[in-house]
Amino acid sequence: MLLALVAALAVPVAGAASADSAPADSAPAVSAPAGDAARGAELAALANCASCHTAAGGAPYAGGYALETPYGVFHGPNITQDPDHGIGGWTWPDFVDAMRRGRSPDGRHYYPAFPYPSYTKLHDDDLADLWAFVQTIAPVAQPSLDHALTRYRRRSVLGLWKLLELDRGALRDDPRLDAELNRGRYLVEAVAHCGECHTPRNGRGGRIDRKALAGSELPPEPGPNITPHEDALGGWTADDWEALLDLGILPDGDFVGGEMMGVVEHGTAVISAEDRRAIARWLMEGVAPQPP
Amino acid sequence: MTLLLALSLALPASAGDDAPAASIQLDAQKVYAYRHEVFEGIGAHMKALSMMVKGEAPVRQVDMKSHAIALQAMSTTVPHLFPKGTGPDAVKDTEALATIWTDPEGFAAATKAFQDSSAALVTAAEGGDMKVFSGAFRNVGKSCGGCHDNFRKDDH
Repeated sequence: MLLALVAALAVPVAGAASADSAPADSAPAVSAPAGDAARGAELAALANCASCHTAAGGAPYAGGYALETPYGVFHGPNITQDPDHGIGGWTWPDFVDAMRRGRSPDGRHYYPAFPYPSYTKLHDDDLADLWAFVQTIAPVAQPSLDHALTRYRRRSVLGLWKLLELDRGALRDDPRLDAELNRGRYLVEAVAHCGECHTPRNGRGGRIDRKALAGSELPPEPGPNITPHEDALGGWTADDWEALLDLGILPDGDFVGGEMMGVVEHGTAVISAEDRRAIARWLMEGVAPQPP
Repeated sequence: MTLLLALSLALPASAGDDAPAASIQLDAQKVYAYRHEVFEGIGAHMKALSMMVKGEAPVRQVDMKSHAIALQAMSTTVPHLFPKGTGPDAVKDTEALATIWTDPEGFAAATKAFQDSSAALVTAAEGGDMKVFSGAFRNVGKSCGGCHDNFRKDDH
């Protein structure tokens, strides 16, 4: 049963050929696999789900955060276990569809402000752990706010967007890399979704992955170039990265602010030192240097 | 550009007894240069402490305390470093944002947060528990980042 499910989820769907109707990773087995909620909580911390799904001073995960973008304002929805306003009524396949395909239980496309173009890369067992975790979130009966968009107001165009921009399916290890580098790549690209703020975007709002982590000017605030280019972070050592990811301190003694402070405080400072090392190594050795 | 200001650095603050004996003629550029050095110093103490927190430098309680006391002392200097006329209009290189002068209450709250967090850091250093100290250190870092968010240019 579990095997069949894993097999169904693991079928890779590559590139633009992955039409949204492709059956390969849709409709997984109905009953959820046994996930580990504590591990899921750690993944949710690194993914910093709370930051976009919690209003300032609001109940955790009850929604209301406003993300101002060139396309208008997106409001992070309620993802607590409330059956009416949150996702308490969701099934495991609903969750997988949302995370992997950016599709709601009633078949609507999600806007990629919800970073499913990164979450689609999550491994099956991590998705199961996240699913176990979200079921521990106390229900809050708070309605989600509608987005207030100036462009892309019709969700139907997102089908085409996904065809062009969504490379669906779990990230597979690169056999040329050692285990730690693969881990770092996975944490950076899938879980922490660093590229959603640090990779430049094209005119459609899709990430330009050949310039991965070269910096982006887009909201919630400009994400700097974090590649190992000599004019970016090429001089950073493993100790520099560890100090940033654990304490939020920069090599000159300054501290990160804004959104990144939350990413550090609730995310990278919470995970294991091994995972921080893996992230650091990927950012130092795996990522291609990009000029500022 | 070299707008001359007859100012005493201590004037905008409450501590009038710190006022220099004679009013010193300072131009905005020099105010900025001094202020820059103060923040470099604060950054250096934070960097040094981070090395202790990360186990990259020998941890001696007396040194931890010295850094913490220095930070706490400098935190009381910060509110005095931004007299009117020393913002981006007057000083090309400054990263100070005009919000320092347009939102004085917000800026006062941000500098107060640094004073409070660094005072707590001194207390933690006196206690000597590294775990407590590490938490207090993170809070100082948050007060740095929190102030820089709204009152300093973002190109760091």
